[in-house]
Amino acid sequence: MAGFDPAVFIENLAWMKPELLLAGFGLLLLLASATVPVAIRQVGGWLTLAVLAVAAFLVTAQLSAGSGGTVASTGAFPDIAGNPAFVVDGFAVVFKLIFLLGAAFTVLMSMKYPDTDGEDSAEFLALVVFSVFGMMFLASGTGLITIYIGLETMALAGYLLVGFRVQEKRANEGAVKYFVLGALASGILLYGISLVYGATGSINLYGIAASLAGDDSGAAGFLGLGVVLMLVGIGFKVAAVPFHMWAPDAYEGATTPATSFLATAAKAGAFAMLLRVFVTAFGDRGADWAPLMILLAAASMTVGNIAALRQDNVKRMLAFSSVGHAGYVLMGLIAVGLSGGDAAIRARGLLSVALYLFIYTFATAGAFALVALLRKNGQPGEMLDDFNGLVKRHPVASVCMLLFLLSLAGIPCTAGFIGKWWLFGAAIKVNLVWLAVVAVLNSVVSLYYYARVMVAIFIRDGDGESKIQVPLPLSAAIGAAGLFTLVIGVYPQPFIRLARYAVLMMGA
Amino acid sequence: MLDLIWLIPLIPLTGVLINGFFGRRMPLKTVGVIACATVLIAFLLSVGAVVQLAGSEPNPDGLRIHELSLGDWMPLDAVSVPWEFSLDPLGSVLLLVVTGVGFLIHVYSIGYMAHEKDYARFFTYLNLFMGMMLTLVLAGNMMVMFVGWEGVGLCSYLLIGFYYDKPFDLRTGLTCADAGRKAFITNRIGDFAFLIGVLYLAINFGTLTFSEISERVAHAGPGAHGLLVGVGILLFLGACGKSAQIPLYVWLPDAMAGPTPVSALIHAATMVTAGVYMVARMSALYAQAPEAMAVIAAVGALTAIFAAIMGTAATDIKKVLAYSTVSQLGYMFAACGVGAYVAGIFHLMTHAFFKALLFLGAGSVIHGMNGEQDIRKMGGLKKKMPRTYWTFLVATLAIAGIPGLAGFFSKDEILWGAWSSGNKIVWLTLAAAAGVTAFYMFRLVYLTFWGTFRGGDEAESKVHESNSLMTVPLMVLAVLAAVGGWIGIPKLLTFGKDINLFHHWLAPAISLPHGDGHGVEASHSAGLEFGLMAVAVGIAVFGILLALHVYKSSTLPQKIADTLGPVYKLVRNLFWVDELYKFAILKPFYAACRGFRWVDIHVVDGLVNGTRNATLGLSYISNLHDRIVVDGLVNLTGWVTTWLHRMLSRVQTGMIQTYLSVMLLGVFILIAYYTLAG
Repeated sequence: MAGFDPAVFIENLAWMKPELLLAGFGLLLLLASATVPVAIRQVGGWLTLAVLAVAAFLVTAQLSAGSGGTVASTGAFPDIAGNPAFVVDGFAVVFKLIFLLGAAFTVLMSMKYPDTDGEDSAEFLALVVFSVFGMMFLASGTGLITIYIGLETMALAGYLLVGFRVQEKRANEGAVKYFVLGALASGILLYGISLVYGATGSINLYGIAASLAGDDSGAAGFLGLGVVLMLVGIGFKVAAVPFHMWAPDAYEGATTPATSFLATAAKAGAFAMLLRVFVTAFGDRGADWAPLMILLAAASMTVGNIAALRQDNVKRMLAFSSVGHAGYVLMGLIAVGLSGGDAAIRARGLLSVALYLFIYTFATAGAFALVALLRKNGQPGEMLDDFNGLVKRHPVASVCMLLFLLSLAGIPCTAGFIGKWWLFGAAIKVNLVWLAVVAVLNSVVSLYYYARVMVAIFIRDGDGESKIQVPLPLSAAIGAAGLFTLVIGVYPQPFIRLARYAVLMMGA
Repeated sequence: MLDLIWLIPLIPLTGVLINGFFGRRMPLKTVGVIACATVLIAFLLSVGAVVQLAGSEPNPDGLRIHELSLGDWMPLDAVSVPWEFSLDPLGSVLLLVVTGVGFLIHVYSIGYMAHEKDYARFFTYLNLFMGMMLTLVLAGNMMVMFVGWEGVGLCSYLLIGFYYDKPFDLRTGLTCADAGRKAFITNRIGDFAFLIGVLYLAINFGTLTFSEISERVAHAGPGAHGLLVGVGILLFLGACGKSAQIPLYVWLPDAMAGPTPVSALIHAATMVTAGVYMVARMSALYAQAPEAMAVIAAVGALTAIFAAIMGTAATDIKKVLAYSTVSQLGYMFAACGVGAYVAGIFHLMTHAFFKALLFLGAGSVIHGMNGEQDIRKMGGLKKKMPRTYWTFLVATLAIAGIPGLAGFFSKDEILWGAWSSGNKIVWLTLAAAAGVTAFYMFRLVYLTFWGTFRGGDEAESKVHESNSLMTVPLMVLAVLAAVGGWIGIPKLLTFGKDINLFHHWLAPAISLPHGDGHGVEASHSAGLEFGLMAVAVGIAVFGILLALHVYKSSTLPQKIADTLGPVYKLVRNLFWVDELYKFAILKPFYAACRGFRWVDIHVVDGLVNGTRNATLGLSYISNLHDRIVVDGLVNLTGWVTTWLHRMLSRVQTGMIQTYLSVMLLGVFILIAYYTLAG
């Protein structure tokens, strides 16, 4: 409660090095786009990748070895009431790495493609960087206002990314829909925040938790309504049913690298926020909100997978499939909510969410990279028929695609199996066997539409086109994603160890 | 080098990668050399490791063992399962047999498979098998062993069905692919029991590492007795599947559909002995479960005689050997069951030598006869194929138990183990089986190599001896089959000098039931042992003479068959066991399938009626009915989900108004649910 002390402020700013780096670089990119646009097209992508790598390094460096090498040291940036407003803990670090990973794949996909849609321009890269900047506040922010601003920063950049191809009707349609629905969701979220503030007298997650711990009855109705509305607002961002309707249109309209970004980093950002808010602020009331999430999870899995069944547009199919995956991930959160103070179950829930998002990022980004690969003469190659006979045109990429699809379906020996094993196990730990059964059945359903792509690639005959030349960045993206999908599938230990850091959440 | 034992299984797997990916484009010679080289390197590494193991200090129990862990594989809540490998005397025997005999068979295969089109595929599978078998042998815990266990099963399936498009058995109309499937499914039954046994062990003892299991089982106390007997029998059921024992032996004769080197490697020398190896590995557990051991002894002895009898009527050269393998595996299990593990493993080793030799010899005959396998159409091949004949004869004498050859020592040790442990009935059964063995083996030799050629002049002119790529391995194996038994020579025959190297090497790795002092060390009358040995040799010689007498005459075999009538028919038709399984298991299973399908159709129909209105529903029912009858349940789920999908896509209109309404509807539903549920 001391007055403003510049020295302390500077010291605290040191916790935001990665964020500051990204913000500064994003601004530089914009400046460069006005002055040296051609040069940026040449080197902007590599430069962005380098900065993302440095940011990842800075983020990782914040994990200094604590006691016994298992506890991450954490730092906090206090708000005016003395509560931490910005924390750096194991959870934040893990999620930031996921964001940076998703962004790196997007940048790789956008770079120097012969007939690019302008995705290699500085604006595009800057939007990605700003969006990641916003996400980082979702992972680290603990004041609801901070989080909200982070969310809007991420989302506004996202709307622009979807509508980036201004000449393209579908892009405009997707962007407008995404924006209008997003605005409504933001409104609902803000309404929820205000109700929670009214009920607890705090807009800081720790303040809310403290207020709830002391008082069990007062203004329960307001609080409940507020929690539900906040869940709706964030549920929109993770594209959970029934707040998912924007996703197919936005995914289809956006250029493929942007779609990949929405499906991986942006989704992970929303999950980071969901976890941070619900675990830190409402962690004690888990039994109240978990049933709502069960509803969302079951609906998301079922609707997402069934709607994906007969899509002939692969991007649209992957959009629905990502809705389904959001449902799976929610199971981890539900386990945390229902853990009832059991640290082991809580840890398993958090770990499985982080692990799954990592795994999902590799497989999804890889699959979208394949879609990007098939673009020719400015025409997006996103229809199922475009995949026909791919194995003859590029066998290695075909095998990688097979890996991504198997991983998304959760077949053993690919990473997806490990991820689902942990998530479904978490649900079973809290006696939600029926939900795990629903999830498994949905995985079976999903195999059907993933198999359609496999059939197109390996069995159908293409129209006899020549071999595909893959530019270096794209092959790097596909190769890295394929490699990790396979490695995690056979030897998941290092990644489980990394994901275990997500259990370390400050003050919760 | 002991720290590198984990490399041994990996080396053949590099062969899999190279030949699997590039084999089709490489010259045949390169493919063969790569495949053989990987196995040779594995063999040399194995020799080095075993030598080093022999030179290492034994632990306080007198056991030389080297264990290493390559990190966690499945860190479960109750049990942690690392990637563990270990080498002890028991494993070392298998290791050398698998890599050594395996190498010879690889070399032989280069010659045998020279005319096949899928040359690279064959060697890829063969190397994959080696990798998996070595994983099984070197595994340090049950889970890693299970990886190898299933892996060799897979390779067995792939290799049995290698000629997947060819018919195999005209009597039953099986194709080679069917034979592979039969092997796989039969094994699955055993594997299921095995896995349940493993899980019971994991739950109750909290570990799957062999050395820890042995230790914990020994201190388990009387309360765990029932559990141990149960687990012991479950594990043995798994062994029954893999090692073709009653009641799961039926797949092995059909496994002869695979190429002959495969029969020699997988279905004679190595994979089928995995069950025996596993039982010996778990000797500490069986020491606490004498009832399970009694079951093993009984099943083993019964299989030994039963399969030997079936071998007397088979007419396919490879099938005779297949029944012989089943029978000899029965010997090994009987040995384990009476506590004579060392004798069992000893027999496993000598059997690997002479049975691999017999199969490779049979392969050479088939090769020389241009694919003919029916011994009724052979005869007099002695002159045409002298090398094959002489090596085959050595192996035949060895398996018949003629003194001085490998089979004599191991078989005699088993018989003595059975007698001295008080299992006189087991002894009697096995001794009788030895006579039958000698009979059918000499029947085989007679019909194949002696007498006159019965296959017609044209076929006769084409018969030729195989090239040296095939005959040199035969000769190496013949030497082993002749003298390989001397390392396990009983004290009785060395004038009291104890130079039974095999026993001294292996005994520390085996746990015997408490207070059970039998075995070679037990006090006994040398005269009795000598007498029993003479009886066994006498029975074998009688079997040989009988075979020579019967098959010297051209009419006597038929006369005997006619006299025995129904008995002969019973044997000729393999006791109708396949048919029994068909009627007792497959038929009821299919009936149950039909029953379930009936339920599906009717229950599903009801559901559809309930959910759709009558007019629409009626039109769908016939459609749905047809689809289920034709395409089964899979299509049904596809149909239901597709229908749901159509409903859903009606909501996904593309109109933003709809989206907004759905979203708000969702908000209201959530609020209502929260208020009502909370």
